[in-house]
Amino acid sequence: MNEALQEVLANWVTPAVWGLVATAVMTSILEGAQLFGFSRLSLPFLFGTFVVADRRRALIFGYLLYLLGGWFFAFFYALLFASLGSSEWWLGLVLGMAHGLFLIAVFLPTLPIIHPRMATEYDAPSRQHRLEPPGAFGLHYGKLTPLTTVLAQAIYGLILALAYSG
Amino acid sequence: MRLGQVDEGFRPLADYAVIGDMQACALVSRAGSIDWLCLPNIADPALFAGVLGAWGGRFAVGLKGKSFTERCYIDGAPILRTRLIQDRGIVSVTDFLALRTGGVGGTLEPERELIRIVEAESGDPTVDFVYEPRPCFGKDPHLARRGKTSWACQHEADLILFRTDVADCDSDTRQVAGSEKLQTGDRRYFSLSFCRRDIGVIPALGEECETKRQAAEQWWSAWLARSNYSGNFREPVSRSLMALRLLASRETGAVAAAATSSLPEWIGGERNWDYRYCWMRDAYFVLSAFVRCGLQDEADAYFNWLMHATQRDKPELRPVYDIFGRSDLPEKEVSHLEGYRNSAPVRIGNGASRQVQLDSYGSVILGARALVEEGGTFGRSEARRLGGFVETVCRNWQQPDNGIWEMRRGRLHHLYSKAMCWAALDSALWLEERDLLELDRDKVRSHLDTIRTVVLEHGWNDNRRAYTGALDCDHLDASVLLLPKLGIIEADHPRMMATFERIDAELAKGPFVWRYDPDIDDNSSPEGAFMACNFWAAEYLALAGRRDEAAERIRKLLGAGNDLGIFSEEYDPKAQIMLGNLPQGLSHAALVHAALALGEKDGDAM
Repeated sequence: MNEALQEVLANWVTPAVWGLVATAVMTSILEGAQLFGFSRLSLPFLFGTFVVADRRRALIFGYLLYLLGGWFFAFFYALLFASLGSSEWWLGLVLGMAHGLFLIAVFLPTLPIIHPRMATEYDAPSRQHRLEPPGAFGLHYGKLTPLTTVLAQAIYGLILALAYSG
Repeated sequence: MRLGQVDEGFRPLADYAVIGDMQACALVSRAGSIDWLCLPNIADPALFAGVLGAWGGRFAVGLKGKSFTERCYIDGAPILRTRLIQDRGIVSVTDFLALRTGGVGGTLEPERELIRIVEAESGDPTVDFVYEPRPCFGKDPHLARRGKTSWACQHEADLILFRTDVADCDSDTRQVAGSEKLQTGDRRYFSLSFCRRDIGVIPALGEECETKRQAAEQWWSAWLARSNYSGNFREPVSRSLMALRLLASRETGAVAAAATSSLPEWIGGERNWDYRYCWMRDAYFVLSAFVRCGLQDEADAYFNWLMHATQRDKPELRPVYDIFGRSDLPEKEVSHLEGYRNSAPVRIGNGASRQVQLDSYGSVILGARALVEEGGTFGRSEARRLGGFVETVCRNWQQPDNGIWEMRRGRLHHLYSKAMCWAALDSALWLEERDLLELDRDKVRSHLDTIRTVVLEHGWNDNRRAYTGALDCDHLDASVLLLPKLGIIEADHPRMMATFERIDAELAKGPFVWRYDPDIDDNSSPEGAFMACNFWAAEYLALAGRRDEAAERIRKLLGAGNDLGIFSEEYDPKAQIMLGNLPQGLSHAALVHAALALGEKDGDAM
């Protein structure tokens, strides 16, 4: 593990640069899905509303947090690739898909409990808790939400794997 | 499944009040049914279109059993209070669209929110409601329950969340209906929130609805206080300005012609058009009404939109744009809605976007002049745009066009269009004298003189003893009543006075004026008297010094609006019914102009 960490730290430029690229591509896929009406899920908006209630400011904060998260996970993926001693494209794809599945199966359903502005399915919305909860697999945000989320995450993993193997 | 105790049939158009948030507008019937609401903006697909057919959708709140209705706007704001009165008690329903505050107080807000507050004022009345959303002009809604008190309707990228604290509700995939017996002082809330391509915000009930009502009241009260009209028609002018403000987009500054589509100009007729777009022909009337009543912000925003929206077509103008400046508005028919009182077809989009209307240039440049006359100004890029329009007028004024009435039979040399071309050049020279425009003065002046000669000589018909609707034609057209207002001829000129008398004799019944001789239009469907023309006739009388007659006409015409002072496009004085889309911006703007014409003569306005 120490060797893997040293390898990542020695090559920090790769996850730093390609983490940014992968995050940008992933965000574009998710935002594109919103614009085309496939899904109403906006992870930057969900992150931003952790901090502020105003939609515009929430989106700006959200994109910053999302970028930081994207970078963090780029280093995490790099660490995994180094630990496994492999960064084949299919491995990145599988990791990304697993990451996406975790998001829709665990993270989104947990949000109503941890998000300061999200309502739950059981309690009436309060002045503070007003955001529509995602429901199982984020389906409240549109039927294609699981697909677009997993796809975006898979592309994210694929880009990082290709960058790391290159 | 229970249904609210409401009239299932079509109601008179005068029964409809309009409420809005300056982005969306809803029509609320006297019986408490919201039968029209497009979201998120005026020209977007309707969630409720019950006014156009049974399958159009509605959101009705009423009393079980027969009731008598009183209603008013609270303090002149578009917050409607309807009192439903019956033996068992009195219930008031307060309807409004909430204004967004930008998340003040840490509360997330939906993109749009409609709130209805029901209060039992006395007795123990039983309140019924039925919520039947039909997204996109009548699509199946697939309502799904979310929690105990919420229902979600997802359609494509749109989410509509409905909540109520009414105790006893039933629902299926198409409607939510409920009923509750209230005691004096009880309040129940309905809230409907809308988000497009975004995570929804669950609407709050109770105290927060009250807070939003107060916020809306305060905003509108402050806005209404900005109007400086002080003539004899304060209430109708104030109501007209409110109607115009509701049609003016808070987002872009654009002003829609009306909030509705396909309300017929004759019952059973085919003149059913989509008026939810922004016509260049209205620009001068609306912008001038705003700016002359002290509403500079709205006038500035509208002018900026005019300059922005026309960017892609410069140096030409399309007759009509949507609020985002799109001029491609394909006209379609909605076959599954039968139309108001079976007045089919129901249309979405407007084919007039492909027409040529030369009066548009005059309207925009006159609007710029009106802005400057009241202390406004504009920059170099706007000056270049206006200069381009002037060039287009010089190049094209000799061409025939479809005219202000958008006749689809073909193009004519409409007199009003020519006069507006003259007004465009006249105003351009006025602006050039104030160093706001750069023009080839000699060229413009030369065209100006030629157009004036053409209008005053070829527009006059010796046989009819009147200025006619088109050059060298003999049909009458009420739009020529505006010639003195444009300044091309004096109101008391013998030919103009003769024209008024002829129009009054042949196109009018009392104060009601029809647009033109019906036989010149290939659309066989009859129509009502045109409200804008009615007020133009009154304004002409005021300009001609016949002030008492003008004031009397205006007073009579006020009866053609509904009890809340809302006017539609047309009126049938025989059947005493409102016709056409509503609230009609041009009708309200014409009312304001007529009132201002009287006020200016008196010196008691402005």
